[in-house]
Amino acid sequence: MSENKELLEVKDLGITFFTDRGALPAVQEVSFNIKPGETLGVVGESGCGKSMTALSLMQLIPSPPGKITAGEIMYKGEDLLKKSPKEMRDIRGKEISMIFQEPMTSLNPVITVGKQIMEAVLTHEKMSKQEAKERALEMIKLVGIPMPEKVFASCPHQLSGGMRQRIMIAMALSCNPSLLICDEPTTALDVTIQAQILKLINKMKKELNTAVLLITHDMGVISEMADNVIVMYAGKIVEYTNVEDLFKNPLHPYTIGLRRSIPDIDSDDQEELEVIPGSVPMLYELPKGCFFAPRCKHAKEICHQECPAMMEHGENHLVRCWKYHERWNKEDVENGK
Amino acid sequence: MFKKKKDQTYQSYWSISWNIFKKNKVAMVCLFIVILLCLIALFAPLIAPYDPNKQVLTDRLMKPCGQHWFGTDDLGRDIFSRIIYGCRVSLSVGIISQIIATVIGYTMGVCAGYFGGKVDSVISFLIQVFSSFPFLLFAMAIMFVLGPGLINLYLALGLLGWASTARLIRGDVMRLKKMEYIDACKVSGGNSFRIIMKHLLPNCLSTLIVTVTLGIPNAIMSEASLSFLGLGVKAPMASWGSMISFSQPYIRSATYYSVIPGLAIIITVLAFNMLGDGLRDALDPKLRS
Amino acid sequence: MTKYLLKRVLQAIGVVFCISLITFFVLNIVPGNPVEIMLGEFADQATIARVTHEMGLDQPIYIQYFSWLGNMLQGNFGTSYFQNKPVIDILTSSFLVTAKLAGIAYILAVVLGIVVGVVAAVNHGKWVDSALMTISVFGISAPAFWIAIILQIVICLKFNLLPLSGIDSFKSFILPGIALGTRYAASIARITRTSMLDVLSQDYIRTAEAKGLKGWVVTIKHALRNALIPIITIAGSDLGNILTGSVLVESVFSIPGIGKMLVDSINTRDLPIVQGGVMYIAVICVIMYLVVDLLYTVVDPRIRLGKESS
Repeated sequence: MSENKELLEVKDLGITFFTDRGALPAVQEVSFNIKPGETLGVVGESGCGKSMTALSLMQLIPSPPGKITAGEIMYKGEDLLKKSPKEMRDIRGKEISMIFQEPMTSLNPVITVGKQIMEAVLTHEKMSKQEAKERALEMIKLVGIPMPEKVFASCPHQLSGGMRQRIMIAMALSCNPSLLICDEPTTALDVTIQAQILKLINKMKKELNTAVLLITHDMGVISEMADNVIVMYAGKIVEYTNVEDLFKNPLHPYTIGLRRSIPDIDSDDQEELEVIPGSVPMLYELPKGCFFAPRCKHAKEICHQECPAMMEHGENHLVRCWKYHERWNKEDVENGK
Repeated sequence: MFKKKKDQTYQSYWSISWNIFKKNKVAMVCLFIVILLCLIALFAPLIAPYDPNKQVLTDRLMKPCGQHWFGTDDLGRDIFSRIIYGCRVSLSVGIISQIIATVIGYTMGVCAGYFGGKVDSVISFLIQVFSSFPFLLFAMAIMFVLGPGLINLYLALGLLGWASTARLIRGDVMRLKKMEYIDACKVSGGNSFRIIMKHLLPNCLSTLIVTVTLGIPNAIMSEASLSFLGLGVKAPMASWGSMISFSQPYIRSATYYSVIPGLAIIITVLAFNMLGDGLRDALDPKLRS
Repeated sequence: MTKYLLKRVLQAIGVVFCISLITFFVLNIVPGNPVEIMLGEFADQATIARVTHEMGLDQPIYIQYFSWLGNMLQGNFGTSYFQNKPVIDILTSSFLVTAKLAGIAYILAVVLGIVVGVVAAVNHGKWVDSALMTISVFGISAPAFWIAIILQIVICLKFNLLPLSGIDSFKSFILPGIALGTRYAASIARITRTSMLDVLSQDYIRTAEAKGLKGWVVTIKHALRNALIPIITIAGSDLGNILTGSVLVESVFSIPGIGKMLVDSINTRDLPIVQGGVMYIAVICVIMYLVVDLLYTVVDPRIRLGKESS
């Protein structure tokens, strides 16, 4: 990655859950950068720590039991982890906004959506109520909702899921944040609505020059939206590269598995869909070596013994796999293969 | 996602519940207290050092001492013995009235939920009537008509207390009725009575256990209140509520006389309440992840 | 919404009618001839027969019921056997005293209960939470009349801070109010905590936090308002319980409220007051429950608007 002016730099982030099963590492050694206006996709199965990573940027990890135990989150050159609760509140909604997976439950059911947008505006901008209302109406219009006045006065239960997600986007962008975190923004929606919402996020991003951290388990969404991508597995990044490389030249066996598990309409050969055998390990029974080793068909002795570090393989392409390490072939020699 | 059971071996509903319950220390302590109270009630004559109704007028209002652990009352009766016998009254009223209320409530609830239609409308209306008048007021009215006495207390509290059970059971049954195995039973020729007894009862059992356990402390509290008002047990029978009532003229000189029966009520009601809460947490399938 | 209202009002009328049936027939199987009770032991047969006829007690019971119901609808609850006054006057004057006591107790219960519940929920899992909830459990388990006596012993006799009994000033209502309200404050605190914990784990609370709102704005504006429905349900049914529960406290503090009036009348077997009193309180309770139902629609637009569209 080039070094010019990062908006967000996350370094060695670690999140631990303190439960009655002991301290469980939900996220370990996560590092990534986002530049202004860039979209970073985070992909992985549910429970791989991608949502926790996103929440940690806002410092909204459910606590107890969760806690950020390592690393730093540099936003515009300042470490968010050193901010006071008050300073953090000023950042939430103003600098960094977030939209969530469940539009059906993410809006307060007893407050009209207009007031919920106004609330965000009034919290961060020095505005009169009238101005805030105008801003809210403008945002509702901007996210492509017809009849903004009517929707402004509606309660969430009167709106469809797609409409609600539009309202969430309007609310998140109402203070013109520099970073928008989208946590599975389309997972709960119908397929046709999904495309509309993704288009809307892309449009708003371009208009407002907002950087986006997009979390999803859907490789299709990644291919359409992201500039760079990190692939997470069991709380660790396993691959980090730009979107073209990820699809053309995936390195980590897990990424390859994910790639093959979605149907490819464009490809001519009748490649059969692959299923990655086994399941994601529970946090309380993480394997000793590489977390993916038990499910990996390439796994060797070393994979079960030691967890690999992130290593560079090709330009701007990081991967956490022994296959790309010099010890990989030595190992064969040692074992007499 | 973090709580998924490692071993997928089959465990029965009751053994899972028991395992959850066992971990709840407060509930376990309360279970122990409840068992202890039941034993005290059962073996009251063996435990009580004195006849609870024997008046020794020379020993009036004695402070707690080695001879009379909790002192004596205004008629020279041993308060410790009266508390022991009062436990009998409280527990029997609590348990028997709840059994009556549960039988009525279960029958009503099952009929409403199972048959639906007009039966349901009538019973639902009755439930509404019985839950919208103040319980204590009507208990007073019934005790006024029947006169004081233990059996009348069972009846009054039992006849008035069924509505909440009926409402919960009705809900359970309506939910169960939609399940396929009830249909399967109907198709294979099971009659209504058989379905109600063999299939619905076991499935409502957890609801019943919880409502009974949480109903008992309410009934105990009502008994104490009625006895306090002179509408509960017949004198000279010892009841915690009437003991507090009789202690009132002596609050200046004999504080212990008022305090001790109240503590007895608190301990008993508290133990049943916490036990009920624990049971609900353990038995409610909705709370299980 | 209008349809819903109408349905609720009709239901309430039905409930009141049923309660009147139950009250009348239950209280009329009371053993002993009321006329004999009223006239005393030494009345001769002729007088008894004459008074029985005058009071309509020789009529068939269903006619007695309808004339009783009819009179009551016109505000005529009959005349007390012993205090030669209309029952309605006796009830109303004593009810005003009870209303004051119950009002104080109720405000205490609701305010204290909600505050304690919210504080406990916000501090979930910390010692504040456990301490408050332990106190609440004791509060639920202690009978009001016992709390009343303990308050008398400690506050009045030991420290002589407040009057021991009577209704001379506002001060006289403080201890009875606390004694009566404690149990309900505790139960409201418990339900508030449970409901708040449920709401605080909802997605929209996270959304509110993600907007950068202050902690108390999230707690009060976003969480509490959503948590109110179960609280209103409990607080609503407590209203009737506090009203009748006042009988226990009134007798400890010698407060001439409707509860004490009822107990005294039960002891003297003054049937018209007992009958009338039960109906009086029951009707007030039913009206209050109706008001509570309407409150739901104010708090939750889903109920209000949902009913409108259907």
